[in-house]
Amino acid sequence: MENLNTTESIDKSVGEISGESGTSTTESSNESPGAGHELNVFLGEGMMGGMGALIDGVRAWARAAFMHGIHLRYQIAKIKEYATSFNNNVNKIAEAKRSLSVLNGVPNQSGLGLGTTTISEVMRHMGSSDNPLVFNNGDYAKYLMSNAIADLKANYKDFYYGGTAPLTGGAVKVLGNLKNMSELTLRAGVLARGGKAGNLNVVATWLHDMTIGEVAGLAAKGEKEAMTGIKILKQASKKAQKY
Amino acid sequence: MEIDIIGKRIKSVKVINSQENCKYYERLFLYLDDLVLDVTVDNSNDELIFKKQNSKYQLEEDLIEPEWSNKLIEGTINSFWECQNNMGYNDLFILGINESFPTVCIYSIASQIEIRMINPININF
Repeated sequence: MENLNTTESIDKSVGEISGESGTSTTESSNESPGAGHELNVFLGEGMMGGMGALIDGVRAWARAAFMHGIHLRYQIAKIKEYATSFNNNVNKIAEAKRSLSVLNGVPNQSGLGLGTTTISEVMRHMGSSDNPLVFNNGDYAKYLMSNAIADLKANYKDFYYGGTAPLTGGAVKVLGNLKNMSELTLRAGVLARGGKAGNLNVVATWLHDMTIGEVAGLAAKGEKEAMTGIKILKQASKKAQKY
Repeated sequence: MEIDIIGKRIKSVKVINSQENCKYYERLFLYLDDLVLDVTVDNSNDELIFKKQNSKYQLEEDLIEPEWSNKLIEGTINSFWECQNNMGYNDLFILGINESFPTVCIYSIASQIEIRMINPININF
């Protein structure tokens, strides 16, 4: 994780195409020199009107591509961090894995656009070279990544801190007697209550590997998919017949 | 349901809001002519629980009269359905108010109560 903080040196060079300084090309040409500026000079001022939309499109694409890189690198950095700091501690590593899977399920956080992508998909993506920008601009990816981590920490505390987040008052009410299951994942919980894995087909996939406590927290806030997840958990097995 | 509510008039509807989301309710009270139907949720299996309370029943908590309650007040309960879902749990209760067709659904999910009105399809559009 120590490499992630060295963002100053690359800040200037990537500011132009990050998209965060504004999407208008005419605005960015007035800012400090960088990759985008050179592109503007190369194309000439006269062409900028016609090329603006195209350049914006390329920038948007580049940003999306880098965002994928951010998420992949972030996950790998987290794995390394947990592996070194919690060396030989099986429980802690299990916890780290769980929090990673939780992170993996964050829906479309701040344009990361990963949605319901699973870890295996992310890893496959990382292994392939269909996204050369990620590899050719490692520094830029790191810069954006550190931004994304800060954003995650600030706005997605519940996800970022994974299974260690304490139960909220609402979650306790939602869970009721199932409070002691809050550390299990939703998938494990459904199986533990006598359900089948197929019961989860009606629940959004990004919830499957979240802990029950987190799903309950979302359900208490009125998140429809999480409420369905809690319902499936509570009614995992068929009710005994009266007759 | 053992509680006799058929033919009774709804005098008032009151709720206790869910802690974090006011679209869902923790508890629902239907004030009828001579009794109060107290609806709660079993938090271990999300089933609806019905209790009969005295018509003078009071709670320490402040009860809220929701905006939609005026659609039910002064209505007469013609019929009701206690519904069982595919897993065998009674988590849906339907009232037919002023007609024998279902008009109001009371559904329990994640230890909370959700209420929806059933509107007829307008076939003359």
